Amino acid sequence: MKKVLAAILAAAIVLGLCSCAGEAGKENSSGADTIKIGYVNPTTGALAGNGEGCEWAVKQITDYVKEHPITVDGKEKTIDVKVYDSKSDQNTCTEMAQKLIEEDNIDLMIAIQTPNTVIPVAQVAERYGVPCIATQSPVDPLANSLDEFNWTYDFFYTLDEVYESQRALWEKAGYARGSKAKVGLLFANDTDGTSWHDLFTKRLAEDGYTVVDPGQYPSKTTDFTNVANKFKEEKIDLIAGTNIPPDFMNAYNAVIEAGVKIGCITMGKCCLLQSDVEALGDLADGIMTQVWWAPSNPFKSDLTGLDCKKINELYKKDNGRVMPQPTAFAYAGLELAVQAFKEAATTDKKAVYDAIGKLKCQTIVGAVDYSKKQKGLPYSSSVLTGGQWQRDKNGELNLVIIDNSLYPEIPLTGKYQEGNATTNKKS
Amino acid sequence: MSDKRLQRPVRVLDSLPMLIVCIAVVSVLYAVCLLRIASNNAMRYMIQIFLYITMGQMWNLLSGFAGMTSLGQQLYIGLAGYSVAIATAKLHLTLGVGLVMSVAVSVVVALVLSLLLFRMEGMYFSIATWVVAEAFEKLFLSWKYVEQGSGLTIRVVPYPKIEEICAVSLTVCVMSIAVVYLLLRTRTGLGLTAMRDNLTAASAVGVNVFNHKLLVYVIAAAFTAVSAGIFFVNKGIVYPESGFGISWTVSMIFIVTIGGSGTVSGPITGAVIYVFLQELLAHYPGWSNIILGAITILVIFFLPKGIMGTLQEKLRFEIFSAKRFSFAKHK
Repeated sequence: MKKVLAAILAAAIVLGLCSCAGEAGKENSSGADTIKIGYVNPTTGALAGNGEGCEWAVKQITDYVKEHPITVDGKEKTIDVKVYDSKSDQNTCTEMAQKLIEEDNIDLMIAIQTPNTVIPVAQVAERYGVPCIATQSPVDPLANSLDEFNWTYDFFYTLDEVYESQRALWEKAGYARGSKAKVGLLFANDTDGTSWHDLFTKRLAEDGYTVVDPGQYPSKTTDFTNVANKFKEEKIDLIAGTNIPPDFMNAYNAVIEAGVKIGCITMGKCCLLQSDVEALGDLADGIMTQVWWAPSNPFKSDLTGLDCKKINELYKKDNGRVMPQPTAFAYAGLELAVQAFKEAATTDKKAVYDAIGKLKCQTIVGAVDYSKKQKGLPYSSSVLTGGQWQRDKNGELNLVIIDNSLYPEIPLTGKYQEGNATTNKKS
Repeated sequence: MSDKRLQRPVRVLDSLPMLIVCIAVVSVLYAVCLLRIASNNAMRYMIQIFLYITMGQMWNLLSGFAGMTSLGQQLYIGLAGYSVAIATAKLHLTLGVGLVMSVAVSVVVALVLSLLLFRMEGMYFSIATWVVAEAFEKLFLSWKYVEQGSGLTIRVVPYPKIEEICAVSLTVCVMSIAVVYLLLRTRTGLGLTAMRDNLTAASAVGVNVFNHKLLVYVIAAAFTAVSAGIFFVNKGIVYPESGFGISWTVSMIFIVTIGGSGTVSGPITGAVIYVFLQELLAHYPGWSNIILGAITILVIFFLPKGIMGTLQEKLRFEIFSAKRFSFAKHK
């Protein structure tokens, strides 16, 4: 009896899924009138924080195009964005990218959310010859992953730019070039960490800082005692690096416990979302990070006509909090996709690829102009400013833009100030 | 009622007609690949199925037939992925050489590790294999030559076509089934089954336990490596986490448990189900692992012998049986 029940149950699950998938399939295939865009998103897993807001951005752009169809191949068309979860796993990224191309017959691929997702997805797009808009992944790691790119354009900053933006923050905190200030490095040996580490060690030495390198560590390390000891021994002045939230949290706690006096701290990746920074507790305010998008940025989408402030209000209304930076890039990536089809006026892959290269438009994260090239990869730089987490009167943490030396057109929203993270106060 | 069923003879389907059917099926599959009858998408499914059958078959050989439940077969998957990547990207060799290298490296590592691992049994062996795989992941994560955690791209020009990858996967898959089937029907196969059922007793009746284990472990390493090598050629890039991750073992266990541990046909059924489920579940982000887990639990609870195991027991037949005689014939 039990077995029969189990068999029926299992069959029900499988059949249910089949029918659902069948329906989903029908919906998609209904349209010769829809343009299909593939999107691999880290919805679950370690990068889920980055993948947040993808669904919302997809809905915004899809709804917009539904109301304002674009003329492609002589017909008015809407878009259908097919999103698959990468589970933050690189094998799944490639599998899902292949599925999008072979099964869903997409016309364009969006590769987004950190090099971990972007590199595998862009590689599949290159192999299968599908135009690919890469964004929210620094240019260097992607450019290093293949000798030439015939189908991909990246839209984000280069590592040189991120270094310069962090350097501007150290200068704000009083650690000028040539000061021989001791910089303690915190880099994991993942894709991001490795490429940042190599560039930072080189440029720090050139700029007259002293590098204190405790060595890279595997991501998800929990014991940072030797890093903390090294920092203490060398009496570091400041900490620089990029990490996922758990790594930074563990390293930071170990360093503080060891009694290291820190004059300033700049950290990439883990300090983007308010929730991640709040998890650091009292020591959160004063931490500095680079900012690629803020609601106060002066950009307006050429496609939807919304500006940063308005779009943040919309997000806040639906989700109850400030729009995260990665979500802004998800929105911008989709904007670019639609712009590319508008420009190409066809779904022919080569024509779409050429059209992306010719795009010169404003998105909510800034202007796009793919005229630069690193190795074989054409890219467009996105804006980069320096921010600091500061507490307001109510004790709420806010990311305040304190440096705009790379892009002076972006307004500052505050001034550098020492916070609890500055354990070695100057004033 | 169940007594009556048990009295019914077991039909072992391994006669000449079965061989002809197998040859026919394989020939049709080859034709479908090479003459490009199947669409690229169908071939994408086929490649995954063939490779998962091979990996499942090897895990089943270790766990289901020889009683060596390894949680560390991903070690050979990672090594194979990196061998192919190093051969093509760093040493500028061809893909074929890369695949041969992946097998060679895995066999050497398996031989060396066997000295260590075979001192342990049961649970201890399982944990030790996993620990070794994790250690290798950490090693590759900090190894400058393979670009640490940045991953290594497989660089070959021109990239092999999907039908070529499909045909090679099919070849490896057929070879793996044939090797397991033939191995089980030899004296060694009997020894292995004896070992699985009771190690001490097997040793007492003269089964050379170490040699048997070594043979199976090395065969498993070699086939897992070559299938993984092809897998990564199809993917294009290998990372320490994607090569040495425990999720590989989870997939293999799923395939073998669902299909039926200790049967040759089990992993074949399991792999087909696994690949289709994976593809189907991609439409439900966030839910896929929960559903996959629920199905595994249901099967373990209610069909502990897996789908093929249960079917064979109920319907009294065996495909690719390890038995060298058929009750049906003798009656």
